[in-house]
Amino acid sequence: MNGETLVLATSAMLLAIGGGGVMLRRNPIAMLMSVELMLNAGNLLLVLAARVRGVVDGQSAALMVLVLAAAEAVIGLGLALALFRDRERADVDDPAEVRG
Amino acid sequence: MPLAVACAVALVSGLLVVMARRPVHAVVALLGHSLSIAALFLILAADLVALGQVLIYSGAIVVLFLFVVALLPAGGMEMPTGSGQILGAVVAGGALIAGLGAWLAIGPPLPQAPTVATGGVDQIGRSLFGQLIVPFELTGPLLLVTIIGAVAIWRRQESAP
Repeated sequence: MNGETLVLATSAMLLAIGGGGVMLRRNPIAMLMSVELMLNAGNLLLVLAARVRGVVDGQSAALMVLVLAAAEAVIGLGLALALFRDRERADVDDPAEVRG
Repeated sequence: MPLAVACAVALVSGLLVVMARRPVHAVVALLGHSLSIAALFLILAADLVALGQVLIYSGAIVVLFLFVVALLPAGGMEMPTGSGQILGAVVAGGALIAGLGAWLAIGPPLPQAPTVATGGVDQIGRSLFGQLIVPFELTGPLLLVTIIGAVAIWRRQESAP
């Protein structure tokens, strides 16, 4: 297995790990961290593609994904704090006011 | 060899992020994970992205997570996951890994990376302000909306009893 395939496999497994975490965890913080894992997996793939193909656009896109991840973390954590600040436990199944 | 080590650290710390029961441990694992990803970026000759990863991820996002873990009730402990959820996640995660693995196995092999790496800061700047100018400029309104949204969420929280 050459290095490029190793990085590709790492990226795929990180995406699966993050997806499993989003499905398994009930703590909003842990779910957000799993989403960050998935974003990192996508970033890794972008940078790998830029390296293999010899074009630089993948790195630029990875930088924009970094900005997106920061914005997503701010909004997600703000929502988690607003919903769970006055509760005894942090569980995404608890809040009734967001039920449709 | 450094590539294999960085890949292994990224995978193990990623698993720790998902498996850790205490959120503080998960945040520390996320720190190690983002640093190993930055190392992978360096190995892939993406210096600027590695720098951004260390500054934005390891610096800003992980610290933000630490603050929120400290503010959440009881450190954000959670109830155990239901068995149906575990089954669903194992099935979905296994299907994802199987699909990606099959695609890796039968797909055409990756071409070898060219020995001379492309992508200095000047080239990234040319790409960002040339072909990718529209999405790059759109990150500005994105950040503005994020700031307004965060403040709005907090104001609504304060006005409620």
